[in-house]
Amino acid sequence: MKRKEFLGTIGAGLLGGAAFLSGCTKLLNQINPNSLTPNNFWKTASDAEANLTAVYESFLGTSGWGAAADNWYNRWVPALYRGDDIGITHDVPDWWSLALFTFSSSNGEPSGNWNMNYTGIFRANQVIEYVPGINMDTTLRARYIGEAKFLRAYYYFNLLTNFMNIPLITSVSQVTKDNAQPQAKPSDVWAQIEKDLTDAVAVLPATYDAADQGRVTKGAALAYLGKTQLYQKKWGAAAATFQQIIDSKTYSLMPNYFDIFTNDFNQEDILEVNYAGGTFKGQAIKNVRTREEGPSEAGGWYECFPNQWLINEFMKEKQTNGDLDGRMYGSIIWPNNPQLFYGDTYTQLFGAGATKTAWRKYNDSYMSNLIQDYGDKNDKVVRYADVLLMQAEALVQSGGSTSDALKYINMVRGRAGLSDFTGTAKTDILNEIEHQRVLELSDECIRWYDLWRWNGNITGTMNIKQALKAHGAIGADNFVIGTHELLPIPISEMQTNPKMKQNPGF
Amino acid sequence: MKNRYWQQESLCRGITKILPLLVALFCVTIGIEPLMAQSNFQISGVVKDASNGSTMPGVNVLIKSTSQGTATDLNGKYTLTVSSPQDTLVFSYIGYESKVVPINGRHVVNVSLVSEAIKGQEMVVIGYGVQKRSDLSSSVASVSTAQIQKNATLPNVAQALEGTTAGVNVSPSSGAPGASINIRVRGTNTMGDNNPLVIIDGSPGDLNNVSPEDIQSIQVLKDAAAAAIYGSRAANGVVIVTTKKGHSGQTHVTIQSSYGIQSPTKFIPVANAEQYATIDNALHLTTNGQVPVFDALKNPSSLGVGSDWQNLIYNSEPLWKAYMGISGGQNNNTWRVSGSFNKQNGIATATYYRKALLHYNGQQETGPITFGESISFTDENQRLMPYGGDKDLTQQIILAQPIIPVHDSTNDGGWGGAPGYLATQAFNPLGLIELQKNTNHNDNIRADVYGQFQFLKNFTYKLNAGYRIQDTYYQGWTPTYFMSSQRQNIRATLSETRGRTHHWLIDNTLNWQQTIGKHNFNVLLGFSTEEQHYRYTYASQESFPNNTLHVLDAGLGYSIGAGGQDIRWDLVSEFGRLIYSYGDKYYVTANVRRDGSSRFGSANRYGVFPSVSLGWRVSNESFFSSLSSVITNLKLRGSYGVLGNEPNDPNAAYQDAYAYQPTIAYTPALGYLYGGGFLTGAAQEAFVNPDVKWETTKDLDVGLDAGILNNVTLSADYYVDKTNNVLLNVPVPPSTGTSAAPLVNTGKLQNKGFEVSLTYNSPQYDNNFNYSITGNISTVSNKVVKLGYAGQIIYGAAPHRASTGGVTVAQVGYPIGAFFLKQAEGLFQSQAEIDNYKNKQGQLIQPNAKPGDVKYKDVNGDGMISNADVAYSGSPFPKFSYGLNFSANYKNFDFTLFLQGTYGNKMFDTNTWITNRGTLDYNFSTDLLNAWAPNNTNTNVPRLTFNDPNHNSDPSTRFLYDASYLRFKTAQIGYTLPKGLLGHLGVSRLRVFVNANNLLTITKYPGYDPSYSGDGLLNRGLDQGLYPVARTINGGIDINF
Repeated sequence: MKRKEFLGTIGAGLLGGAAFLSGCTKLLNQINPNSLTPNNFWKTASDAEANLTAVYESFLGTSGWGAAADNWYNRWVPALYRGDDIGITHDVPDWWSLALFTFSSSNGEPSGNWNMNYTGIFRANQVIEYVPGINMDTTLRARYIGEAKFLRAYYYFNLLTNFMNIPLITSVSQVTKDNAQPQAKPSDVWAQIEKDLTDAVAVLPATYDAADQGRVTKGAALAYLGKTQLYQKKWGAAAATFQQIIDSKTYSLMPNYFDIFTNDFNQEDILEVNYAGGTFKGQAIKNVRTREEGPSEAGGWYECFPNQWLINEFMKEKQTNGDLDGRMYGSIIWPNNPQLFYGDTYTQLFGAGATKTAWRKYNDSYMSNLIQDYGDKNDKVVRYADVLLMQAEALVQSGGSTSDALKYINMVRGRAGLSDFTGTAKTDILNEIEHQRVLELSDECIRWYDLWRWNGNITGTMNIKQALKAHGAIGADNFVIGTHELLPIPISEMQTNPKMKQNPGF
Repeated sequence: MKNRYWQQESLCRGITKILPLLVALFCVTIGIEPLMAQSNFQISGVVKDASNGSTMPGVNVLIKSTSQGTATDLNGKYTLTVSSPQDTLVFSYIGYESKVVPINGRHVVNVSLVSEAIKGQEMVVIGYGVQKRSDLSSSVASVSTAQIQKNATLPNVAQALEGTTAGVNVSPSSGAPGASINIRVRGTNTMGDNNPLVIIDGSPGDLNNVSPEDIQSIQVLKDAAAAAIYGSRAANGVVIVTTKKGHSGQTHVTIQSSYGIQSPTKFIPVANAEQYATIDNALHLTTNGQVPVFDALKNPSSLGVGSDWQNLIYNSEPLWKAYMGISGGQNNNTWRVSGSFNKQNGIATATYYRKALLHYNGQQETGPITFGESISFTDENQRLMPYGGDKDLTQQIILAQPIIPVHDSTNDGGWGGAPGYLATQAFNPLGLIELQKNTNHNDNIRADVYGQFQFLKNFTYKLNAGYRIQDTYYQGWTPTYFMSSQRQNIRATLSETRGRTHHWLIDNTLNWQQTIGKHNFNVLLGFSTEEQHYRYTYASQESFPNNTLHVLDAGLGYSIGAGGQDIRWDLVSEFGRLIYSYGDKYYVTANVRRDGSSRFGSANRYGVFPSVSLGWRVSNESFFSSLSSVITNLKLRGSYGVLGNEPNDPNAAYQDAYAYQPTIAYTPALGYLYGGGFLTGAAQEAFVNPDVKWETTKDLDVGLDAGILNNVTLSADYYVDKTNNVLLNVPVPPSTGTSAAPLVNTGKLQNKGFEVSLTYNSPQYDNNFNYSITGNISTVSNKVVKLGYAGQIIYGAAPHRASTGGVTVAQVGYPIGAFFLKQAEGLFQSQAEIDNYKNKQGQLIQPNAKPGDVKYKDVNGDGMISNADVAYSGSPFPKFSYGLNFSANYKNFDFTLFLQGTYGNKMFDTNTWITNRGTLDYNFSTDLLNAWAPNNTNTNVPRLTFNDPNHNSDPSTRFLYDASYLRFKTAQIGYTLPKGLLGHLGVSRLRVFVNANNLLTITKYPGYDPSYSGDGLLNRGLDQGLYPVARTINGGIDINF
């Protein structure tokens, strides 16, 4: 080749290259091929439904050890382990220290609870903020927003009753800077919860058809509204709210106590977490209770079990026919329970002379096989018996009808085979309400919050520390009044939010 | 518009399709030269370095005025057949003065070459070109290839880099076979990926895909002036690898084979069965008065030693390597082909790593045009630690109770389990390793071709194109098994992930080089386009007919999962460089590069990265001449430049590749089960920062290079690096409802330090004995200058298996990853001491304490001990690190010793911590046998308390250790057989050697290995209990034909 040809080739090469380069510059404009963006979402009714479903997901919590996390973070661990009616084993240090009242802000349980509820709130805020802009059936749209408001209230209720001093966030934050929010006054959070629940009551239906079962109902919203008022000692308002549930005649007690726990969506259920014991599109929708609480002899982890105090409470009063309280057979595995557990008698399962106790309710012990996996039965959040007892309490405390209060107490007693309670002194009735709540709702994640809202027993003659001590709770001695009523703000929040103040004593 | 865009894009893509074809074409046209066996005159000899008499491998030996020749073998020897005894030989080697030697009828021609390094004439490879070392005004380190080849028994080149170069810190991410290697050039500049850019023969690549024996040279570009030509990816330094080329002339064959044994170096002291039962009973006794709490532990003395899991799992295992390289060429057409095979069983049962590597280099010259191509293929197979991988399983091994029987033939799978409740605490780790089979299989093919025109004498145009495909395949299999009712798997599971990465690169460069009088000019202009596209697919099934079928189709469909993603990024760049020198005294280099990256929003897509460096060769000044007999070379250098850095590896997560775009997660993970069925949910789950942009590192470097007499060379540098707009995944408060931390430009980091490298070569007394010593030392002082929003502190990971929050932080004024821990101040010896430890209000600071509990310092003075009472406790960075290399030759023996170490760095040992906690019923450290008790007060181990109300078991300064170490990294002795013995077999040289790696480590650190660098930047000093490193003893043989 001659020199000129060389030059020509080089020149062409350079020019070609430059053109090539400018073309490739366009390659720099890339759209994420893996995800939707806000620009093409929140457009249709199905977008609204999917967004709402994500709010429900926090109600269940599909994360956590292959099964639903709600059981741990919202209900199971913080409620049961601080209570006075259980004993616990100790293979999970975080739970152990919760029961011992030696927990610190780095305990994983408070952070699990915190994160899960605030995730739900973030998603609920999206529905409440963006769904109104979607062009769709207006009734359905209102219902969706009502469901989201209920769930937001539920998440705030959990946060408030555990941490008390929490940020109140009711809109979608988009700014990456300065998204650290300070703690709100607890009264403002209570007010927001009441407002959301009141809004929800107005638009939610009393029941759903089978396809929508599991969604929150008007009854659930009323029950949580009543509970919210009860926790604030707004006795009269609470009584009026609970009365709406009773008057609606939507709910009635199951005739047989143990059947409550083997039947999903039964006539007594007002709000429950829906489990199926299976995996759906890779998501485990399984109840962890049976595995976590089941005795090790049956393949469970035996994390906690009923303590002696609870058994003594059950033994206090017998049925009219002389037999033990029917709820004791339904609630507890102990040597004298004649039922079969996992297909075995007590002695076959535990051996002669064993004295071990375990929970019977929620666990699949009525089935004949040993525990191999997690369970499929729903977790009860609010059921009618709880509402009846709360209404009795609200009536007594507000100076309402004593006979109505006794009527509701005796509905609950009657199902257990007990004769009618006839006491009339306010203190006696209140003590009976507490006693019935202990027997009726054991292992249902309610006892600690009763202790907490009463700050001890229902009549105020014992503080929490004294109640824990009197009932043989293992952490009673470590309980510090003024500190251990609340969980510490999680270290993950403390480490990222400079505006956050730690709860006292942590 | 849209159409045009499509056309341009498809043009770019088209290149990717054409490239492999081009490569194939070259291969066909070149062919492989037959062995040339001319029957004429045979000569042989040895080439040595004139300065120290050491033999020189790879020296080019050419017959003058022909293209025939050969190269010296690993021991500096060559044999050559010439057509006439009156021919003349030309010996040449990069960095040495060429020598022309007439044969004059001799059969043996020995030659000594004079290093140009002494004279400053050594050539070094810089980005997109080469430069004389004497002309360098920036900081470029050349790695001793001899050192790398001495360590060639190791499967990874990077491991051989360890400690050889000042300012370059190399450490394995774990001791697992095939584990990745972390390389840090001058400390840590970014919170993201800190590995340097690796350029192999002109294209970005992976050191894992090169055989050490194939390496011609490695240069490390350390400062901005050197690295800026690579712009946005250069902030972590650039490692440039050049592979060996063929030589014209006789075909040359090198074979190396070695076999070694690796063995564990250290076990963590944990209790045997009897000790375990004793400690556990005592824990429960002191806590709840129950003794013994578990039936199985009732009678400790009957339990004996039980299962020693570390001993059962970590064994001596073999390591094997074979390498063959063939090179040759004719006229202007040279080639080199090599292949190697590594097989390494991990010291942990069942784990292994296998690598096969093929490499081809060819070059064709026709007049002013030169073509070249480099093709390599790597195939890797690896079996990993099962369960949660390295970290989880190594910790399980020390936590497994010694009372667990190894085997139990009545169980599904045949492995033993702990009795009753104790099974909830730990499982049989050996059983799990054998049962769970997790493997990786990766294939990597790369091809680079270039064409180069030289025209108008001084101009060169080069088109370089590279194409790479990487296929990854992961398979995870867990069969059904039963160890106990709590430790069983009722459904076998199989999951598979396949991924493919395509990467292409096109560089156009134009170079002008001219000398006008005393002025030397070298100007480079170029542009470059690069794209990477990654796509993966995932599938899984649960439940199989039995444990022998390991394919997805055999699954019974109990649960089926699938997934996949697609990630692409592009980089479009223009760059230029001017190198100017005057009279071999004054040097200037200026670089500029403009990068455009798809990983940023359109407002911040482009970054410009300039640099300039100046050099002054003082020793060439006339006023220096009186000193020049002592100081043979002295050059002063200074440079300043700006480098960029992008987010992490874009394949790591799609959030990184599209960091500026918000997304809606629409996934079953957000789904809920209603009565009518399961619905998929959707929500925004994370915040994004649309303004994300380049990190910029401003680097200032001053240094000098000196040669003293003819024996000593010295290179010293001082540098200050300041990184602005550090890209951080800034954690948002969980109360926002998301834990995903968006990428934000915030924070400022500073690194500064000294690097000194000094070499001494023995004067050559005679040919029988000579030696050389090279030492390097470097300091890095790292500091966080600014961070996050409003002084936010960023915490590292919690120690594994803890929910205690991070123990390392990024905080202004401290090194990144500094330890912040509770301050343990010994043990309370009496109740009086506890009662006297009061706050201002007269309340006890540690009300839950009992004698024998840990006393903590009330750091924040709030009168109680909480998680807020943490204080700076040490830096994970060494005060200095060093390497010392000694090599010697005595007659036919050669000897190398390489020492390496660090001083002043701290490490938190998770293994010691977790076995000392005593709050669960898994196995304990033997330390607990010496726990405080009223009759055993002279101890630093707190009392046994299962409930631990005083939080003795919290991570505290009790578990932070000095991780300074001195390691006898490599020692090698070789012997070359006398020439006459094997010549008749056609063997030109045969050498046998024995070498040892990690022979001895002197350290106070109690964990497996003080040289670990943890996961990620913030956790650098957090020893999470990774797979332990091995000591290796190898024997091997080198043969040349």
